[in-house]
Amino acid sequence: MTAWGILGLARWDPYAPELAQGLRWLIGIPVIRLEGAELTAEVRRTLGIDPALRGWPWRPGEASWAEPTALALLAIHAAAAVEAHRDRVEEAIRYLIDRRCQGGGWNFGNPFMLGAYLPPRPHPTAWVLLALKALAPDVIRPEDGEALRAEMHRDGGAMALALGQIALAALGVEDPEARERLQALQGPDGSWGQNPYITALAALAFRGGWPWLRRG
Amino acid sequence: MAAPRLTRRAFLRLMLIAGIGGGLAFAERRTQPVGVRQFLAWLLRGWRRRVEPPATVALGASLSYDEALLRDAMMELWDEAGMPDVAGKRVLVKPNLIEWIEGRPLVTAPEVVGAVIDTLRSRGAAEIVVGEGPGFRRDAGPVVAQSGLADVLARRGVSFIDLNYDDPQPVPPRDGWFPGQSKLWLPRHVVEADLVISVAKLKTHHWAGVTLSLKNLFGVVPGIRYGWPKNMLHVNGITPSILGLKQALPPVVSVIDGIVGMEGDGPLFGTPVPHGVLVVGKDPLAADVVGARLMGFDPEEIEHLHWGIWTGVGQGIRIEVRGTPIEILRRRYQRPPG
Repeated sequence: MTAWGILGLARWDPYAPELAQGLRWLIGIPVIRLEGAELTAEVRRTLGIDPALRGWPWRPGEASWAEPTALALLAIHAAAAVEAHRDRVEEAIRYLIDRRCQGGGWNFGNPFMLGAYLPPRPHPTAWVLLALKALAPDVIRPEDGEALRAEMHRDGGAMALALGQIALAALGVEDPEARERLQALQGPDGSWGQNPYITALAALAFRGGWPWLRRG
Repeated sequence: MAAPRLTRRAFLRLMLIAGIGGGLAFAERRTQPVGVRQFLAWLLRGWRRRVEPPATVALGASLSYDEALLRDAMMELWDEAGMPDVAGKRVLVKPNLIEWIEGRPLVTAPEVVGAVIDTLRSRGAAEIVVGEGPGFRRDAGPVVAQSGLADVLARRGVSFIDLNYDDPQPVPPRDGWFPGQSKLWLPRHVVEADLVISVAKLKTHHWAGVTLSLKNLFGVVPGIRYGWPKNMLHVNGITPSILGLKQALPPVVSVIDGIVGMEGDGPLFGTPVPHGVLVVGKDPLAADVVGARLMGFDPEEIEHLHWGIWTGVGQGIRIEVRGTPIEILRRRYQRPPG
């Protein structure tokens, strides 16, 4: 929610004191970081991830996950605060790279569990691709975009189609079929599923994508 | 003036007080984070269950997903299990819609949800909604559509609520399962329900051992408040969260779809087990104990069932099974990895 507030304020008034306060809170939020060789090795064995890397959690004091990490990075980028927090930003990018699924794309942050590779999901993949496009475009692989396309069509929901198109547009990829499917899901009252969040994402998708990528 | 002399009796009294104080402090520390009072309350309630009347669980056998047959079976089992009177009540039906993977029986079959709705209607429920907040999906809508539940609900004119986005309301965490937290946020339709029916799937689970009607309650936690996956529950611990949710919710009863169960790498990648069973019970702990036994597991080996029995969250010791005997229906499900 704070990341969304920063994104909104950064468009309205980049010098607002509330923006700086929000950013301070976001940067200082406590995150679980597992340390110690034995524990780290156990987590690597069962989850295949590096638990020492910090992204951002959903709530203070919890573990990092892909989606809030991506959203926090997008907020920092929109607030033109990347240089001021370079180490934290770079660690979060390493976190996202570490959590990439085997064939490209991202799920909530568990690419591997108890001997099985877990598949990517459209929503976190879209958020992570937007964040990487803004801050580290060189690390994006072609299979990440392909995973997003496949997963958003497999999901077929308005949220996945809208977010997927926003992220694909940022990568310079057009998907007319996704556009048609999203149009078909609009209700007679103009909303998508009478859900303000999904309707806002759909409006952004039809408007040409993620507007904050022009800043930074 | 001479200093007062410590008599032998006063000395012994002081030692006794110090001993009691030290013992209480030791017990308090040993029972953290819940504390000695809560620990004793659980202990006594657990003991009390041994002398209380048994919980009734009804078992249906040789069932298929034929809608008409299933409706009849559900109504019969509902009565056999002595389920609560729902006339005039607001009921939330909570299926397991964790994810959709073609060919894998990981969600509650929509036909079972339909049979529950028909039973509730026939018993005069005033308001019925179906709700779920998947932990792996940002948007429940596609799972509802892909699983066939959307069609079942549309034919019955029943709404689906994505609990991940349903206006979270604060509720007190009861019974000491969420130490350090002054409130839990739960979806409005859950908080306002008179009765929650956990319509679960008979499945293995790689973290919890089994996912039956108690574990199914994870899906009422709103993602919009706690994120995806519902990490708060893992931070608090899976077992205390499962039992704590049960205690924080309105009354919960259980229906478990074991017509086709899942064994092995559940809750997502396991393999189907055609089993033909349906479990219906007023007490979710009793229903889950029976469910675990049907899968060939000792309920005491499943951590949240063991603690649920020990703390008396429900009746897990004295269970009267009606319908087909459990011995006839028991299978040996392959255990989850890890």
